[in-house]
Amino acid sequence: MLLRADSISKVYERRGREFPALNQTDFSLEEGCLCVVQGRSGSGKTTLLNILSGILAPTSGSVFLDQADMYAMNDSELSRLRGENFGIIPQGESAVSALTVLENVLLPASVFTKEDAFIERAQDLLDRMRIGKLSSVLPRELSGGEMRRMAIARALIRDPKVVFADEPTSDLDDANTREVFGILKETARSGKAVLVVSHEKCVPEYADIVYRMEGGSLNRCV
Amino acid sequence: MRTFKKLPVLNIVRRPGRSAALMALTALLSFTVFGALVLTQSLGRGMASLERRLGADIMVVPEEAAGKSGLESIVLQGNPTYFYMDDTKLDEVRAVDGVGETTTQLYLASLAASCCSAKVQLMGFDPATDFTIEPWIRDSYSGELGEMEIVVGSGISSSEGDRLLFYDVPCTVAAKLTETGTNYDRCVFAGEDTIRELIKSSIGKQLNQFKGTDPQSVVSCILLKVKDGADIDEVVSGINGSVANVKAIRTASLVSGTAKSLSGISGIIRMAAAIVSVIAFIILAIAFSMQIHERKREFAILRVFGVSKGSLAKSIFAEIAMTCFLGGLAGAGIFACVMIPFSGAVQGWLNVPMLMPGAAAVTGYLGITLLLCVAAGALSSAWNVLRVSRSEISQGLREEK
Repeated sequence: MLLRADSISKVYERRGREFPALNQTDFSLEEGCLCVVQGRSGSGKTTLLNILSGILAPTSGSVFLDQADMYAMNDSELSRLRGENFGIIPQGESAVSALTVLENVLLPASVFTKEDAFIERAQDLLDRMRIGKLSSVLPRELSGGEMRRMAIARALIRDPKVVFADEPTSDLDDANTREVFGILKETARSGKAVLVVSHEKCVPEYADIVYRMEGGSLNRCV
Repeated sequence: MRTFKKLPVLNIVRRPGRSAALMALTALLSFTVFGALVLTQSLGRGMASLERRLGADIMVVPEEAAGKSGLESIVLQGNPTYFYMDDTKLDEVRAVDGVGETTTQLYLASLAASCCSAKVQLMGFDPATDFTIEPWIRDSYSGELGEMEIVVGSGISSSEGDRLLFYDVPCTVAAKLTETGTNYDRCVFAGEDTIRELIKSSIGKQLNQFKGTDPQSVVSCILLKVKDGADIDEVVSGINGSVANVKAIRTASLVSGTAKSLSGISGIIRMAAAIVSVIAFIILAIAFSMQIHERKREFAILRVFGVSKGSLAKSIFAEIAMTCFLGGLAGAGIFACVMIPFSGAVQGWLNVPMLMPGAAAVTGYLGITLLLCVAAGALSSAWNVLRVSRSEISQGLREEK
């Protein structure tokens, strides 16, 4: 098992009131699998993805990558684990505006290592995403679909073990949505574990596993 | 260089509008701090230069000259004027108890007319006894001044070897002095014999108000040092009581008026600088707070890619430090561009001696200013930077673009 969550819960506190988002949830993800979590807005999908990707500490429970307990680590260790093992596609626009498309893709690689070794790979990824010719432009010149493909290329730059995508097609048309899911499916087939949070109807065509999130609990549909 | 490492630079270069606004605020801070440092130092150096130029404890002038308003600027700063007394007064002054070393000076003002190259103050000194002008001239000219040879202040537009005309008498420029920051920069110095020739010519041309004067037997001013252990005030009283038609003045009392106005101006400059600096600091803090808030999502994205809290804070601080450094450099540069060409006008407007610090000192003030700008940026943004770098990543991702 590559990624495992044991009985994770998350309770948000706002103005002195508690709002449970995740309730004693177990989850696991294996290499080569494209897993999709669906559910209504506010059902806790993004909270689950954030906890599994190491960017939001659960109120209780543990998350393991291989055998490493992610939330037992300090910030530096967890940041390194996240940077070296995870490729994350955040919801909405996520480009760093001062960097070109190529620099955006290279950014995760440059945090811990010299990026020189990744330049060729970055250009290959951009070519695969059909935005290779846009590598030297700034993100503000990209369309929504191109921006999302850039985010996917950036998530894959360090050849991560797990790819997380939060609503990767929320603002895209049907053609672009299918294209993005095709790329994610291809990524899973190349041996990565892929977890996608999405409300798209076409998901079952691409997913190996589909979960539905309701009231802070996961129910497997497919 | 790695993209993440160069991100602070790229943020400044590729978001010029955002960076320029912050740099403008820092430039205001830098302009004020650097300006205050340079101006107060210039005033202090001008005063020190004035005191050095004087070098005497007591000055003795004709009684009618002492009654003139602005004697301080006439005698200390060399504003064009002249007056005479009989040279026998020197022996009378020397006879007073407590009088030590003495020397005389002879003044003449040239005219803005065809007979003269420029309207300047001509100051004659006795090379044999002088202890006020010659030591200073020695910094620029080591030879002996010959007949009709002159040394010009730094503000007179002529150079060594040039010939200047005073009352139709040609004089050769033997040397040009270094800047003093006082009106001495617009004076001409020569041996007393040369000045006597010029006085003679001015009387001959009916251009001297002291028409019956014999240039060979007059002096304008006697400068003296008191003997060791003698009380300056007692010597002043002794001269005023025993030598007729002259006025002895303690030189420190002349300088004290200038010192008082310098102190007042310096105080106003310091206070204005402090007020502007505090206002600039508060505006910087607000501007950084707004900018950091606006970029919360961008910072969260960096954390997603594995940037730790510490590395993120360092990256933001690096960007702020560079912004403040460049803004500081711009502010100091603007001050230099304003001050260098207009320092003479500023000096004239303030009516006090000013002497710009040397390059090494200015570089030091620039260093202090830039350090202050960077520190102001870091301090004014510290709370927001630490807060954003320690906030939950998921919270930052929820921020609207």
